[in-house]
Amino acid sequence: MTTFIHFTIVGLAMGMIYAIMSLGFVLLVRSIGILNFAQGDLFMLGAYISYSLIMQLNLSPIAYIISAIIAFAIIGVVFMYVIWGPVKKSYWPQAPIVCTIGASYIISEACRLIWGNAPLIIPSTIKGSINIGALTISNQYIAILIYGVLVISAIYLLYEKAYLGLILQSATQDYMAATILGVPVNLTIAITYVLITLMLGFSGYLVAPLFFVSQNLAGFQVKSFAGAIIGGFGSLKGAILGSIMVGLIESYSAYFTSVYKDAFIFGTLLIVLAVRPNGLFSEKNGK
Amino acid sequence: MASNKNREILIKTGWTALKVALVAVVVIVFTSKANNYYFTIVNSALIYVIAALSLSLLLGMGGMMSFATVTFMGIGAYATANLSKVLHVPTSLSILLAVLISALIAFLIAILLTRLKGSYFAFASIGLAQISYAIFLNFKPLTGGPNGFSNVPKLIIAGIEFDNLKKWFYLLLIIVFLAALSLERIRRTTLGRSLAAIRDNEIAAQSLGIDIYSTKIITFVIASVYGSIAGALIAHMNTYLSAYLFTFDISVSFLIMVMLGGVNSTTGAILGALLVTLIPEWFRVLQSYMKLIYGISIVALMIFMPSGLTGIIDSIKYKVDMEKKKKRNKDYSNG
Repeated sequence: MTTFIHFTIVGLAMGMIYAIMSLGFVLLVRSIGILNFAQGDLFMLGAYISYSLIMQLNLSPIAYIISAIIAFAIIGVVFMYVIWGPVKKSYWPQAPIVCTIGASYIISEACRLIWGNAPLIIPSTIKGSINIGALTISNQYIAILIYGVLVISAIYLLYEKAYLGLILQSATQDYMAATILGVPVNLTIAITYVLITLMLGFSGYLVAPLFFVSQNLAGFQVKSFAGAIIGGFGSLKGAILGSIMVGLIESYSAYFTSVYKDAFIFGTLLIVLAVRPNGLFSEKNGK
Repeated sequence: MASNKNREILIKTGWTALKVALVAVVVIVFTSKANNYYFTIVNSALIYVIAALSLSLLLGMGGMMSFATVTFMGIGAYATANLSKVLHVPTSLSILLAVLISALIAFLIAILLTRLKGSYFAFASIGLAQISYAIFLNFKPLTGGPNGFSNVPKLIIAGIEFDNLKKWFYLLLIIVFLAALSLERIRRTTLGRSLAAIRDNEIAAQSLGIDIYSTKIITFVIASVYGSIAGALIAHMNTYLSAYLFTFDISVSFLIMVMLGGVNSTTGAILGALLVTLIPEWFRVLQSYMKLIYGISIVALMIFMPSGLTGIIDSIKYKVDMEKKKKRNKDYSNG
């Protein structure tokens, strides 16, 4: 029983991280309509920058948060103008997507050249662990759960309920109409990019104490993709639920196997795609 | 008029002869000068050409972005390795059987995947590549697990044992030539043309009576055949297999190869595969920066020439033709 609770909490926490990543992915699809293959690397970059700010510059928590926000926002805008800006009008529709693959190489290699190959260590955000009976859970998982619930509900409310959310998504629906109605399209897209890098950067920081700061962090991306697809591509609710499912599946699969975790996740993905090509929780059915 | 046509034919044959001569000179110079190290690199580049042709068929002709080429390479490689080493099947037969096995598996997968559109298909293929990598890395009975699969028997075709890299080089040249030829042939069949129609406009293709589903399935199976041939050849050439030959990153590099050359062009795929494998060898000094340069060049490629090398050549040709036409019209109007 205790292992079950432990697996559930770990699975939920990881599910939250996947959910934040897949939200970032869906937001970009909704605001400019392209897939971003550099998500995992932005996530990793967040962890590396946090390492520099906390361990090398020894900033206090508040100073860290402020400087990290500034750094991530700058990265978001630079990413937008370098990776998406020049190819947005390309006549080959896959060009922006392939560009993000290139960006993923650039970011991960830049990190390797700047911070080296060896995994780096960041101390936990909240030190210590909780004991419930025979069960010990690192506080970091609790921190991730709290952060996840906050960010996910904020993004969900912003994009599904608030008027601002509609404006942010208008550019991809009809670029021309949005411009005519006076939507500052470049600004809304930049806001989306900044939101994404902020979400990813801070989740990278929160995960780092558990998995170390290394280039392997980028591997989280494929699982979040799987989550977004399992839940229903393009829908926020689907991305959130699907990703949490992926986190739980990954965690529970430890009952059966230690090496085939990924196969479990992607097997589920293939089965879902075969049975319900639009995902489990998507609003529209059919093709 | 007649002389004009004759001249055109003459020019065309002249160009082809020139190309053949160029390839022949490169091959002769290469084989006389190269040492084993160069042969290793060029041979693997040639094998990657076959895999890139597989992706060129799917992505260029069919518009299906697939990352599963490595899956079928892996199936082909491990199948022929197991057949020839464990069951002692003659190697030339085991390659054929491996291709058959991989085509069967591809058929079953295609039934599920080809119903998916655009990005869904891409993601399903990513999932497939991840699953197959997990299996190749961990399933000890067939793949040797993390230690890899060693002592794959050497390839013997019609009594000739391919035991050195020079022989392999000639064999691979022939296979690449045949693969490219067959791909060009497919482009001109009903299958190739219906595939292009589906890529450009699915609804229009459907209204013309093209069976989208089965066309895509057949294409996927053919692409898997190319992939598994590449994999099987790797198995017998290196005589050692490890799961790291079949990772998602390798799939991405196939994508880059195809795109560098030009998505929908056979020569483009060949050029792209050769360049992507050979350029890092020419700039070995910059080795630690190589991946960074790789990433930057992908972005630059997409910004400045999204249709690849052949796309640029085509657009230059088009411009020259237009100039000629203009000049001709001018001459005509001047009398």
